[in-house]
Amino acid sequence: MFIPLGVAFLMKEFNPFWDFLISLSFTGVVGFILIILFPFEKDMSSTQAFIAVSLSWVLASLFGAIPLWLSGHFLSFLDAVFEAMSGFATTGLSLMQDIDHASFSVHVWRHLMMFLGGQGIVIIALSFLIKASGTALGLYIGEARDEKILPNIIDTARFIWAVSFVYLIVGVCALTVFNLNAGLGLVKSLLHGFMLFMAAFDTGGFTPQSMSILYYHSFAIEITTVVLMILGSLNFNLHYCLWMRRKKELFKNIETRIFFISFTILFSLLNVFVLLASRVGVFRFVREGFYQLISAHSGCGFTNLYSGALNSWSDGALLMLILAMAFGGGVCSTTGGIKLMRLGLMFKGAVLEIKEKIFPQKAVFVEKYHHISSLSIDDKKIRGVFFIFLMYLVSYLAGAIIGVFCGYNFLPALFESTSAAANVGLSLGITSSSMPMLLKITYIIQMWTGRLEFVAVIVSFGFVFTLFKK
Amino acid sequence: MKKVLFLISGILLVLSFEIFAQDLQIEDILSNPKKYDKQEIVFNAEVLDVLPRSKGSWFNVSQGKAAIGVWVPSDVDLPKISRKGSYKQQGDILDIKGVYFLNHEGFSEPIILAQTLSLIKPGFYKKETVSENKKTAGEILFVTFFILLIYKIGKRRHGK
Repeated sequence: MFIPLGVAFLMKEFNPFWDFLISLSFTGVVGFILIILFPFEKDMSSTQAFIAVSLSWVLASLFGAIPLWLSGHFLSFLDAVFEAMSGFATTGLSLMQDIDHASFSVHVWRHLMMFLGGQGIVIIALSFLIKASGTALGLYIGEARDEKILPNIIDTARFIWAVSFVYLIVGVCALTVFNLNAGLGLVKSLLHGFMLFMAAFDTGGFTPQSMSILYYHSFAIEITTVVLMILGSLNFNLHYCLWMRRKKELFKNIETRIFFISFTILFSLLNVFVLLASRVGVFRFVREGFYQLISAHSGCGFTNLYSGALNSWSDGALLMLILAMAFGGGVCSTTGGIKLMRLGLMFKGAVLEIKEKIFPQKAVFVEKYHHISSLSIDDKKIRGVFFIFLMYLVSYLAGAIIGVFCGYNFLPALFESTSAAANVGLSLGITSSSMPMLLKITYIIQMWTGRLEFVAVIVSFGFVFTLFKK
Repeated sequence: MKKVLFLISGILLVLSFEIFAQDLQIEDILSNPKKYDKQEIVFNAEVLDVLPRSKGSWFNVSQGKAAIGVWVPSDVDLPKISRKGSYKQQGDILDIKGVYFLNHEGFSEPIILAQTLSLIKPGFYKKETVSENKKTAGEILFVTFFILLIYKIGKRRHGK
């Protein structure tokens, strides 16, 4: 909160300055009291690490919500918590009121939450606060990072930050230039450049105004954000390969191949569904359809449509967007959703299963896939993949059923639920401050569990359950 | 008598149209785009930003709940915009008359093609006041935080 505090000071935003000072001091005081009351020097077990991770996301959202609530742009503290969880989980669904009159410091905080959440709250701690240990690995895995990029977990965390900072500098410079070209003033261009970068690269989807990307009326900004969304949805291992100039990996990798196949199929079907029902020209639709699909697939949630425009799309087109949101981007990236690697492994697993059924029992099959190196599929991997797939499916459907229970139609409810659980942020208008409290809480839980890919949360609930059982 | 009644009902009809037009909500346009396609519309909105281009300007305007872009060609007379809506200021309120196009040649988004713009209420700088309670709470919490920080640093150094 020191950054938005500094922005409030520099921009002479007095109320937000005091709001951030109160929030920062209160968070610090609570933190110090907990450290003093519960000193903990030992290494954590993996269960403890999972509980620490899942609780840290809840606490981050609760404390992160304080300055938002104090800003007066939220009707209740629950709405502010929703916004903070949406920010940390890089979802982008918003309950903010009068967004166009909010202070720069509040906007910077909303976007900073996305940047921190996208990189991983625990990754920050691993990078700067503690030395490498078994605890570090437990915390890293607990935050839904399946893969190490470098042998040492601290080096991996630092690499993720290094990559992000390089992209930050390049991305902010490009967006600032395009913002200036679009007609914004210098300070506004720079601040909007920062915020758009954080929202695009960390596939968050917040914008510092209510019109999303349409505010700028700029094709260059749309293209830049598309590039950043795609970069954000790439596995950090692929970024490492690109940095090491191993460009071939990009074409051989199972995740990029699945992304290309999935995007091509969904985009073709989306074109068919929308063009059949639409009066707009081909170029216009391709531009809108392409942007929406990239935004959904990468889990960002930016839109170049006016609010409510998605409601006029056909059910078939919305279904394509729901599938893109549900699939998500690469593992070990800033996106949510089932993830491309798992889709690829499920497909390969299904092929293996069919082969084993068709051919003689004595025949032995090995199904291989390429991810950094050539790897083979085994039952353990497939079990793990199906477990996460099933959990996402349950989450998407459970949210939709609760939406229907609250009085919405099934398809919009499924769209919104998938958007929340896969941390996307596209909306058909259900998400608003007037929606039922039950739905707000449902979406908060979906965003939280979806971001952590369920395991850490299930372990935490299991631990609490065993405590009660004793 | 019939002529008078006809005249009165005519005036009422025109007035009712004017009232409907003045009260038009951006939200309504956005949620019923086909209804307003190629229709003349009149509405009031606050200026958020003016983005100049070679053949005109984009006026991003808001009514609080929703915002929209209005394309103002170079040949339309522009009122002098003194304030744009932000945290620190309330933007100028404009009366905007134009035609809404869901699909217009040369544009890749739905637009309101402005015909006339007139300033109906100038914006103003919002004076910001911070309550004493907020300042006191901030000071107490910050001092407590600072004391605990010093205590923790001291304890760590002592421990080493």
